[in-house]
Amino acid sequence: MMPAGVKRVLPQLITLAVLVALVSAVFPDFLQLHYSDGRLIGPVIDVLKRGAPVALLAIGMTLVVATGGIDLSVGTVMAITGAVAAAAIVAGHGLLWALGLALAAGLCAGLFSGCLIAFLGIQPIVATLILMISGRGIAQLITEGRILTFNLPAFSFLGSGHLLGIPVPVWLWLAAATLTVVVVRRTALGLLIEAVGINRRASALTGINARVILLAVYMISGLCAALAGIVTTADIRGADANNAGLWLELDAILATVIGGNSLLGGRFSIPAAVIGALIIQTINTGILLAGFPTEYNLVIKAALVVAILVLQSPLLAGDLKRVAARLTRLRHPAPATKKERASP
Amino acid sequence: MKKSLALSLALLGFSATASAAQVVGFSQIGSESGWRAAETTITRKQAEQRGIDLKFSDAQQRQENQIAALRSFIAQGVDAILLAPVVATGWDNVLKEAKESEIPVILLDRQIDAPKDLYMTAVGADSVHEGEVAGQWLVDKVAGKPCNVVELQGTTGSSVAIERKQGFEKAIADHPNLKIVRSQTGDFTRSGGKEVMESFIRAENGGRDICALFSHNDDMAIGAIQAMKEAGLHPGKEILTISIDAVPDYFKAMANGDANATVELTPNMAGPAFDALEAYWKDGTQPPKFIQTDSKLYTQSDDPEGEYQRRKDLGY
Amino acid sequence: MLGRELAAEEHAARRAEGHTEAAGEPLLAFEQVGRRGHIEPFDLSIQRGEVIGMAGLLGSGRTETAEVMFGIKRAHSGRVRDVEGTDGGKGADELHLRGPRDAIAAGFGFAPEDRKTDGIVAELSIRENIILALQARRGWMRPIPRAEQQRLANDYIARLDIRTSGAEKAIGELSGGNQQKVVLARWLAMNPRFLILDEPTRGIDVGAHAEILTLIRELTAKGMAVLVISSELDELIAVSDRVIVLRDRRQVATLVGEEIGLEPVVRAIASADTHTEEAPA
Repeated sequence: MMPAGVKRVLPQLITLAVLVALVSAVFPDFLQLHYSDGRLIGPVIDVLKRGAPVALLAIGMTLVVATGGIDLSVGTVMAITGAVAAAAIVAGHGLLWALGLALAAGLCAGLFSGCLIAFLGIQPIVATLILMISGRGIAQLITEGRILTFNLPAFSFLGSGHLLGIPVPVWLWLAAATLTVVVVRRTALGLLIEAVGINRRASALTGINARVILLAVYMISGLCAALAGIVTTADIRGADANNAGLWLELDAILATVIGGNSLLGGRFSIPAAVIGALIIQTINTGILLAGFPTEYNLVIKAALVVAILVLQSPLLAGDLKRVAARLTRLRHPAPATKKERASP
Repeated sequence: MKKSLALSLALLGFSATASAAQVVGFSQIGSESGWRAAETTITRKQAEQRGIDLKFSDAQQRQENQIAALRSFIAQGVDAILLAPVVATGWDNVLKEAKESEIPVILLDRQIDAPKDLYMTAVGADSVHEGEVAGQWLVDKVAGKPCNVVELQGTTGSSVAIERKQGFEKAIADHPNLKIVRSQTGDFTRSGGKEVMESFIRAENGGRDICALFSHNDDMAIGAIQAMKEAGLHPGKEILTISIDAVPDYFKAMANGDANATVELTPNMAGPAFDALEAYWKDGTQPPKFIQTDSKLYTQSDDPEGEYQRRKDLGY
Repeated sequence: MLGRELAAEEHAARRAEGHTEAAGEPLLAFEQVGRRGHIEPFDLSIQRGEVIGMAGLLGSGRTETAEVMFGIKRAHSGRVRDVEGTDGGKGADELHLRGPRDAIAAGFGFAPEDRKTDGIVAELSIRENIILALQARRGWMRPIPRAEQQRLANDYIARLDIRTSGAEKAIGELSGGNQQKVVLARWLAMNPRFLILDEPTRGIDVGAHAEILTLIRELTAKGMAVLVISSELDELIAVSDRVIVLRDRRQVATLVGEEIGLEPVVRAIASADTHTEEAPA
């Protein structure tokens, strides 16, 4: 089990190592860590902490992508759930209410997209686009267009607190990733998700309740987005409906792809996607530390991402099939059309 | 004095000649930020104070909604139109229609690319000037001592970010003791400001080598202040913090001693606009093509707590 | 003329069979089951241990019949009775087949015609393909232990002589015949009462062909009822106890015992259209 697991994430680990070496070349103190005030401090810790939202989103996104779908709404759901949590606190409710309502909002968002996809047969990219666009308006309605600030140290702790010297957001994504891996791999959920993603029709014919599986992955994705929204909101002690999670759905998809998960669905690896999120954050933090002019930020990021995707393909055990799959993906950018035949 | 006299005369004139109030249509971009919400609130208040009937339309960040709102204002035969344009181009046709109906249009806050005869005037701040005011404050504050400045830029390529940077650099240009050592974009957001500030602190010897922070807006500065405090630094004391916008939460930070100064981007764009309109209605006075609002500097000695209280309900 | 007589005769015989003939215990009865635009209402009773062959030209409604029987397409008319009953033939329960899950719960299995798009889950391993239906029935909360999965997979690989280097190989890499065997193994692992095989031997090599026919015989010997749809009439005739002929979306003939032969089947398939129209519904 372990050797196979390590082998799966090996390309991502190598990529991360190369990237760390690269960043260290422009910023020599990148790997330096020191301990003060009961906290570990250093750029690496920043990467682990700042990578939390995308890592959390990537967990849910990986499951969605494994079914051959995509969830464009996660960034917006972060804004909604952050706004819900902040509004609950401002209204005088405690930590548990704020968390409960935010998580419930995330679940509802996932349920909404999931129903459109599983029961009405709407393409995932369209169904989640609806919430991506309208959801930010919902969040703005809750915050009335301003940054809704609050003062509740217990809640802020989730964004900027420390536990055993490590920032709390790091614990959160570690816990969420571990829990999700255990749930999908120790039950049959992972296998059923993969089966539905590879061939929904054949899966339905074997008696798999494909609709329930689809509903489940979008709800998990909503839940992960809610956690990411909570972390982001707690971090700045305010719900910024206009900017929270803006464009992060794209980073989450990118993390999933860097994690070697095919957008066509099927076999998936959550650890690889989470490492993918750390790869993206290492690039982001590296750019900030390097001190290049801001105009180069996106160019550098894009160049590195392209290099990673190109180099990673042959690394995957020389598996030519994956290269072919990637090429097909390039030729057919719309995800999951072939396998999206309606279940009987 | 002259102005208030003209104003009262104008008001008298209206009450004498027409029982119906002047009707002004206001097409707002949408609720993109707290500042804009405050602008809406103040525009409503200003209209109310002056007895103007304000027709408000929220465009939700879409130009087509704004054009539709303008057409509907024209069809209703309003007396004037205030437009906070979402983009710079594509206004010529609808502005011509307004001109043909002899309805004056005043642009708020943002400029557009259109012939100047298609609108009456534009009210706005001069972003270069804002940057200069901020830079000048820092020049005066450090008084010749060497100072490493870190800069939080707005969204890369946005005109506000470019101009505020320009103004700041212009103000410190002749002062070699002031040096911008790091400059990165925080996308005008709190979380962006916080993340970038964290990286500045890492890169500059745990923040000990930073003497001042210049942020292109208050939201990024507020995020940066959190980052500094979490890193055990003392913004407002160890690290001078200057920013632009003057939002309530920043006044709160100033009141707490965590921030030093901010340059106001007033949300009261409607006030000067209504002044210009009233003068025009009274005797046909044409205002200049650009009315620049004040870029007032607020420091810790300007009653930040009081400013916070005055502003907190404006919708920021 | 003859076709019509045959059809009428067999219609009566089939009815009698369903209730009295002791070819096997009655299992299921499809009564006037039909779906508008797909298949005319038909009667079909099924006994334990029998092989029912279904013949007809392409587009005659064979696959549609199978899909309605397995609940993939909902029937618009008629009912399905579980004659055997779930507890030892005590009652005659009506089955409501609203989807494959209902059919599977009733003990049905279905190996579809288009193996690649409807049968195999290509990137999953042989082991996973074999346990898929079993796992779906147990629900996601109760995973089949890995050791049990391996045992099942190795069992069926040996029993059906699936040619592979191992159970962990992706099913997509197997030959057509071996893929079909895995799909069969998936259903055998469920121990169904009634198995529908749509073109089970299409596109597979001669060796696997014979093995699959033998397997069908073995299964029926243990009491399973099998419905075989096939365009290869020779093998259909060889393996079936009863042959149903479809034409223009309706059953036009049923042949039993001695009547089963190439010539009568071909005749029923190819009768002139006028006969079809006159044939009893």
